[in-house]
Amino acid sequence: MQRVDEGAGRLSRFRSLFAPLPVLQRVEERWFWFFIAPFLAGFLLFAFAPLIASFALSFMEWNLRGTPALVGFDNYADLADLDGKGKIVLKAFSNTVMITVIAVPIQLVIGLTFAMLLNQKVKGMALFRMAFYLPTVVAGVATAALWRWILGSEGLVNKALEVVGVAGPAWFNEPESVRWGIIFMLIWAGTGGMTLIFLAGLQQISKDILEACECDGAGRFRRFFSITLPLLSPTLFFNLVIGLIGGLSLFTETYVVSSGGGGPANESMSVALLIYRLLIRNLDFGFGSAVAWLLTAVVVLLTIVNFRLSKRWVFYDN
Amino acid sequence: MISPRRVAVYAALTLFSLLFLLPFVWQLGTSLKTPAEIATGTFNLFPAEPQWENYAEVFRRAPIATWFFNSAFIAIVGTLGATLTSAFCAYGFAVLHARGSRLAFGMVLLTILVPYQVLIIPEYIVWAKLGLINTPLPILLPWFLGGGAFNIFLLRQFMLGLPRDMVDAARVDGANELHIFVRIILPMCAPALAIVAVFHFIYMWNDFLRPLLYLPDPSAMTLPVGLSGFVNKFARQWHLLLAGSVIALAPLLVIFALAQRVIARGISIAGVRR
Repeated sequence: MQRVDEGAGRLSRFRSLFAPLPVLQRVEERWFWFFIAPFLAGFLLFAFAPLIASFALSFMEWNLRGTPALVGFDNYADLADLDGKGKIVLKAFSNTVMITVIAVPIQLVIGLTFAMLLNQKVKGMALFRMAFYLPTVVAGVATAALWRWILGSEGLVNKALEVVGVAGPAWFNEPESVRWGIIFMLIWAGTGGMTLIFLAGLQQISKDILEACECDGAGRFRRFFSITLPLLSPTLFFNLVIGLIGGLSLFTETYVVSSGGGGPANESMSVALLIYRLLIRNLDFGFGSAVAWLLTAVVVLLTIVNFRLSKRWVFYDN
Repeated sequence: MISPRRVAVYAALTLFSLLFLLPFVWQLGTSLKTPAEIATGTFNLFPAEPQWENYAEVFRRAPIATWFFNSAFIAIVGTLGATLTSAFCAYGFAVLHARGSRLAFGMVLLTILVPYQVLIIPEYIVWAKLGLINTPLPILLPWFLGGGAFNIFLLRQFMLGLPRDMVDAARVDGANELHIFVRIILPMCAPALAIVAVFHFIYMWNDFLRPLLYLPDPSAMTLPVGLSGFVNKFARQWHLLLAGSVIALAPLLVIFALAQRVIARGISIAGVRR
């Protein structure tokens, strides 16, 4: 019975979209569409259309000169051909995923730790807050170039390692260490943003609850895991989702440390860098679009899974 | 009496923030050293004698001034476009009621999920066919159409918090919505507009993929793209590479210093989105 009711509700809601309205309301609706018209135009031109176009391109072969030729599922078959064209795609995905799943949790843990420290009503909090946030503000080519120096064979990190008697690698020039170099860089650059968002979340938590809990004899750890963490879970979820999407679309850092090549030995090739190279260097639009669609699918699926799982651990207090 | 626990908190904070800032100090110091001094590999942060000449040489060896101007133009115009259009759209979502409003706002949020990187192939082909490579249009136009999902979201949140009485009063007086937006809502949004403008300027100044695709000509390049070429050109000349990257960072450091409060406020608005 209930199902039928639900269906009827949905139908009537759908009908009401087209039902006649009082004049004033109709005028307001027209204004609404007027105001969001720029967004709708931008959405159609720069999100929807490219997404559809790249889907169409993924079934074609084209290199800008001739006319696009339909090739059916050939590009997707190439993706699956792990000894041929698909090899580099698999490498790019595994590199990107490895960098993301290591860097993002570390960013989250360090970011939350910094935020907890800053939330102790410290004097000069503004100063500390900005020190942590500065690397996030300047993250880009300039800081990636700086990290090429810091993690160079004669760089800051290796000199520090020398003091304790360890010979560091030329981080970005050796296949074993290049991804770790990128991970260090991402942790340094990405933690500050998360710290400030965590801090904003922590400041929303009412002190009364924590004090009441303290009166009841709960220890520091108990308070953290039973009160602070659940109340902070929406903020944690937000940082996680944005961090994962950002990690999977990694481009600038790998481009700069490998001079656009994804080397050494493709060990730093990210998916976004591969798409860029298929577009600019290889002019392989069809195959590039198939890779782009695969990345879109991975990002969307991951986000859906995240939202599903979030129902189990994210606590909304409204 | 200061408790040992507070001492530990301060010690940890100081240590970590120095660790985060050290690379910048090291960079500035190294950019002022002679190549010989860098090669000796001693641990000193600052040079015996600052070589300001390094900076002059970077300007001589690359069209840094042109790149700087290109970056500034794109970042300023793009920021103006994004701030104004996102406020315009946010007004629709925050103040006006319409069927389909929730659906349209869902579309705004959806665009956050699609990374720009997956859209570049068809976009690039269209701009190339239109012959608009090496013009700023491919980079700027999207920001005039919608202004970015994050910006719309932030301004909508802010507008929802404004008192509605003035809007209703203006309507009774016969003002139309455009008038209400420009004369009433926009001035009240000034603090939020400042936040959006600062963040968007930083974003556009750092943006790399779009300028890399659309402005490949050395005379049209932005600073980050030019600098990425430096990395190869001056591969072993760290003093020049680091001087170049100090020049690229300088405007951001100035904005960061001037707009600290705006940035901190912006984070706390963005962070408590539910």
